[in-house]
Amino acid sequence: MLRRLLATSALALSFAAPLTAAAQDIPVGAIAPLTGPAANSGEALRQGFMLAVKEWNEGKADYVTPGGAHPTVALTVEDNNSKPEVGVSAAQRLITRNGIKLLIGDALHSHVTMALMELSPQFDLPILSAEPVSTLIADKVKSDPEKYALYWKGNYNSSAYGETVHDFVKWALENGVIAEGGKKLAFVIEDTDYGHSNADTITELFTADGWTVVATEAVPAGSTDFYPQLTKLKSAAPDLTLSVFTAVNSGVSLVRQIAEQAMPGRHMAIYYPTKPEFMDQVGDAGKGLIWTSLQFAPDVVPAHKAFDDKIQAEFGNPATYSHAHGYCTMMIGLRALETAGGTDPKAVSDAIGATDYNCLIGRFKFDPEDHTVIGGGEYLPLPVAQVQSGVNQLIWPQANATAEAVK
Amino acid sequence: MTEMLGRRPALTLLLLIAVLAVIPFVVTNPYYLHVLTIFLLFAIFASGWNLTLGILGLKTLGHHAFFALGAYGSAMLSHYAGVSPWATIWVGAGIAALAGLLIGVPILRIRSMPHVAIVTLAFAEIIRLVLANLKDWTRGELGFWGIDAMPALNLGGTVVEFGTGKPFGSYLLALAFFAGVHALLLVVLRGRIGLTLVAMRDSELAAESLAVDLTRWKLGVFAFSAAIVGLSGALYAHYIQILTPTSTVGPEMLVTLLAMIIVGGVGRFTGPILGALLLTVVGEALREFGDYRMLLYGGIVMLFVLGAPRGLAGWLALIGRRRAA
Repeated sequence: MLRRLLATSALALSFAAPLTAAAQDIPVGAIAPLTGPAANSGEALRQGFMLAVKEWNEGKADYVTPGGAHPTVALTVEDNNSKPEVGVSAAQRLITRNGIKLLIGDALHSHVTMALMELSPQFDLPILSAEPVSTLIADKVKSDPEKYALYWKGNYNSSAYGETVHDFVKWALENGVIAEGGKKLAFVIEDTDYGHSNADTITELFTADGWTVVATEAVPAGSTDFYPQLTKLKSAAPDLTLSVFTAVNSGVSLVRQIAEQAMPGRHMAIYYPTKPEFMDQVGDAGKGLIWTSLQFAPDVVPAHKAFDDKIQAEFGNPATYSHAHGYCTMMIGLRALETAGGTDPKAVSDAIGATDYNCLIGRFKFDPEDHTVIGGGEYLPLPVAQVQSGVNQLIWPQANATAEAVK
Repeated sequence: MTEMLGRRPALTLLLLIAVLAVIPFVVTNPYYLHVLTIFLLFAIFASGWNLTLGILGLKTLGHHAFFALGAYGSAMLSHYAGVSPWATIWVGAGIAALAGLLIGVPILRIRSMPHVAIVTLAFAEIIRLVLANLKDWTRGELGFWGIDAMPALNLGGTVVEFGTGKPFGSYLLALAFFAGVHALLLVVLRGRIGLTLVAMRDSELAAESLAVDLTRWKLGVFAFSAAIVGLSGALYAHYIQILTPTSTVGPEMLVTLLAMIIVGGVGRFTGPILGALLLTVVGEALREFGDYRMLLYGGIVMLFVLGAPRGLAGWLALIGRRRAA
């Protein structure tokens, strides 16, 4: 039995023979949820990474020194199945088998990122996460700056979303877009780090302004039946209901059911309307929906349209915000490798930290204190949009608005 | 008994531990050691669950709750009270055992196995919701981080470190607990206790007629099984150093561990070990197949369930018997 056991193990491990890449290519790794409930976003991020690397290697990218020599890279993307231990396995595989000099990870999940960060000091490896927003990651960096010196967070803190919602609602109240009523706030969120981190920040800011949270309904990611939650919310009669989902099917179902139930007050959505299929599926129920943040709008921004065309040509599907964020994050990493002039971990990390780069979705600059991309203002913008006549229009900040907000 | 323990179980376990003990001195690649560490931790989990699911015959589907209780119990005690993880892992196992006793009481009143499955599944969901909602303490789905790794040990002048990114020490630690737990299980199952459990599984009426106190035995075994699973959860917490309710007590954990036990062989001593080894290692090896990875993984599980309904351990035993005949 033992012989068979060993043979089975050896056979399985033999699959793990090293991959070979061109000798001059710098190995770069990325980790994303390519299977499981978040695979849709994970695949979009992967396509963004791949397009960035393709353009970079073909001499068509936005180099730090245009026309100068730049290194070429070999990218390997691994799956984390949305689990921290699988993410750690994937990272160690990339480090030991592919000999990566830079890790883009995690692409989506905050909790996987928090596990991956531990590998940075151990393997002396620069790590740059892409979409994770949890403020806890920044707190972790601040708790031990020396240990996490090589880690950088490629998205703003979840508090930035909260601040956007707070500032927009303040403006909307002043301009009569939202009725103040009894200052009652309700949440319908997915039961994930993303949903909770956003709700927590928004709650903190709104309660300081005298609002009361009358309900926080957390449902499993991917839920599509909201009638029990909406029945409860209806009796609480909130003046503003905020919903946070990463899965578009949840968002579509919620918006449709809110319209069916004729929910009182205003509804504002976070994240899920960024998915192109949202507009296709939501129909008339989405009319007048206010949401944030419209960071990727091929319909109204020419640069986004050009990027969408490239994704369509390369992968045969439309581009989303995740494609664009993946592309920009990878580009930051590649530009850091170019700036560092080699693969010295500290030099690469320092180059990431010194990034000040206008990419597709905004200006990327890191806060040196918590190693996190700065959100809002002149940096990564978080504009608010409204569905008007079946099209997303930017309504806030007013300086960038493409249409007036409809009451 | 032979069907449950296999032939020469002590020798088999000893040889397996000996081979596993050599590995970190031969294989230095941290990735392989990490994968094998996860295998060892899940093997402890699966063997603990197999005690009730396979050996006692109680169709419980909530043991991932004990894993989470052990993990969070140990992690929170070490984080908030500053107690060494060397002590808190035992507290984590104790919390899981206590929870096993509590859930064991109502289960004993239920004769229908589907109802036992539903009650234990509901128990796990309650634990998930409690952990997700006690945000001030567990940080819910935001993730409980800042968990200390097991403190380093100085072994004859060599400092052995543990935790994520410390593959050598972590592997040896997991192996030590794997060996200890399985040796204990073997001692327990080879004696009167093992015979009693098999008797209860085969016929509760017959066992009762032989003066077996069903209530006491079931409660005891359920608590013991929960303690082992809780211990594996505590070790996992101090290794991965980040916990979320979904990753510890979510439905995927249930399916993964159940698949390990079924593929390895329900009710067999070596079954969970083989299942954990196969599915952990194969799950990683299939990364070479990219997008087809999970499809192939599911196919392999189906292949084993259909082709070897008694599990890998049962299949290997059958081959052994045929060769001997």
